[in-house]
Amino acid sequence: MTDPSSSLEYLLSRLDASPDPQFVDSLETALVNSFADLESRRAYIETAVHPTDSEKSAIISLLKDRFPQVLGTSFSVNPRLIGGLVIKVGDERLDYSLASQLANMQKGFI
Amino acid sequence: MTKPSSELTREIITRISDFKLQNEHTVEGRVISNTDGIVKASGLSQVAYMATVQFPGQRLGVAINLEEREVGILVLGDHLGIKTGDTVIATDSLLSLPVGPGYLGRVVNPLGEPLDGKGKITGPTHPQPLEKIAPSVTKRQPVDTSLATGIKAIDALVPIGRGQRELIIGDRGIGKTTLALDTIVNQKDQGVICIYVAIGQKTARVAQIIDRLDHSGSLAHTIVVAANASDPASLQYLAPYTGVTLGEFFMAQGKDVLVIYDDLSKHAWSYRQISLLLKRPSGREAYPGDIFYLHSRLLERACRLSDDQGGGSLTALPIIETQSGDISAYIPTNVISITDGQIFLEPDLFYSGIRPAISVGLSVSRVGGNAQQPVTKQVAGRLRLDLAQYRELAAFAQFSSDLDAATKSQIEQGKRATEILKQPQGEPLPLADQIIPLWAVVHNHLADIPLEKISEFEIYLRSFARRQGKKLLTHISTGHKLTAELEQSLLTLVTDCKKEWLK
Repeated sequence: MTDPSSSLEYLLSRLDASPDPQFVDSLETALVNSFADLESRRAYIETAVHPTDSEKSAIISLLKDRFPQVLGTSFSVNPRLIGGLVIKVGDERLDYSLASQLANMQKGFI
Repeated sequence: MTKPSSELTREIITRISDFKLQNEHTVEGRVISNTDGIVKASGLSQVAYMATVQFPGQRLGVAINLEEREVGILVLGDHLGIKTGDTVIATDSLLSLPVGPGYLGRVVNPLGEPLDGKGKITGPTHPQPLEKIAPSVTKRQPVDTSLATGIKAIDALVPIGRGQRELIIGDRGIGKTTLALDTIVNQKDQGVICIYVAIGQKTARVAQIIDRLDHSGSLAHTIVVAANASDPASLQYLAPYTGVTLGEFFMAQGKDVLVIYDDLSKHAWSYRQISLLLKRPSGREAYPGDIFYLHSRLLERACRLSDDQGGGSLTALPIIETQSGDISAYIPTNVISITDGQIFLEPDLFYSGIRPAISVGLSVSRVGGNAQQPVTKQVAGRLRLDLAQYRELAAFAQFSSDLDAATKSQIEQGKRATEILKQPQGEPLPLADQIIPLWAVVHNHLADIPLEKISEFEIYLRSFARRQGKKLLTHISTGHKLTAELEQSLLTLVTDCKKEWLK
């Protein structure tokens, strides 16, 4: 049950009789909206190297200050960032990576 | 000239040391769908209406539909290659156009990018939003200055004032664009800046129009904004707003501007296409509910500013193409109700050789009368009534061959007035050249000229006046009313001319 459609299938399989199509539509919309809400409350953090546990805690505590709505975090490693980290919460993206700083510097030269 | 390597190294070091670290905070969305340049994207929760967004590959878009979880985006330009899942980045800026004097004499697209191969727009520019609220009542003053079109039938019967909105309406191929272009040509050396907005026209036709303007020497005071039939609906939708934004720049400097929108029917089609793709509810003729506001907010930006605001003016000549002369269709009635009058062109008149094919009965100028030159008002004041009576009598005379002399004379005068109002395309006339033949016909001095020779006589009369009546021409050119003495001189001029011509 990781996405709205599989959740909907699961819920429908638990029902004895086939439900009203309008009910199914409303249920689907509600599920999509709740998944979207959950998604916007999750912070995705990309780092250039594996962070230590203490670094992770520091990042999470800083995130709580800026995004109090955040309920969960996911860490991943992306060596292309070269250094630093990128945080994504909902549709906001905070780029503190060395790769983007170098790209900005390159733009300044052109 | 190449720089020595030491200097280059120094410059690189300086630039690196001057570089300031910036943490990038962006608001992003993801493309859900791309339908003919209308993109639906998720995210972008903080994007503003009419704000620009950026797609991969430096493509721009503008947010025009804001919903709870989705944003409808109009892609500006090429939308091919935008795919589902692409990142869309919101920007803080509203859709704007860098305006400046460098646009004069240029052909640009609705984004202000040159299309004429003459290089970048030069000179200072500053960005102005494309969508702007029209000047308020307190910033305006009444329309009371004439905008001479050089077309006798318009200047005499449906005069246009600076700051007015006068609709040109008629079927296809009966001279709407010609009227507009002649008006542009007539503004040469008059200090009026012209903006011609081509919406959804064939590229070859736009090229012809540019060529005509260039050959008549009118391109120097004109800007052409072109969104051709092959351009996406987004550009066709934006084109008139680009035209008016450029016009407002010059108006704010106290200048007089004439903007021609050719044509708003195709503009309405492009907006209908966009709205249907955005799944907005459709109404009459499948147009969206805000189609009236689409044109009213555009045409309301035409005005004459008060002297405190610089006294500039923006005159709008929108064009509407009708189908089989039906002016009661949705878009024509909308635009008729928005504008300050209309010039209605009739196919029957056009094909019977009356060109410009202006229907005197259905054409009207609601504010132009106050702006008409006093001399034109004096001479042509009763022409409209005379022509109306002539039409009525001519219709009645079809059923009766036995007419009294007075009626016959009135019909003959009406025929001659109709002949005098004919004018070849591309030959706008100065005020004095219009007034003399009009005066002659209104005062029934052309009764002894055969009907088929009227045009020939008119040309002769104009050249005769240039030879024999220079003083009179100079006075008429001022636009002041004719005194009894001047009218006597006019009578002598016309009589002498007739004598010479009839020899």
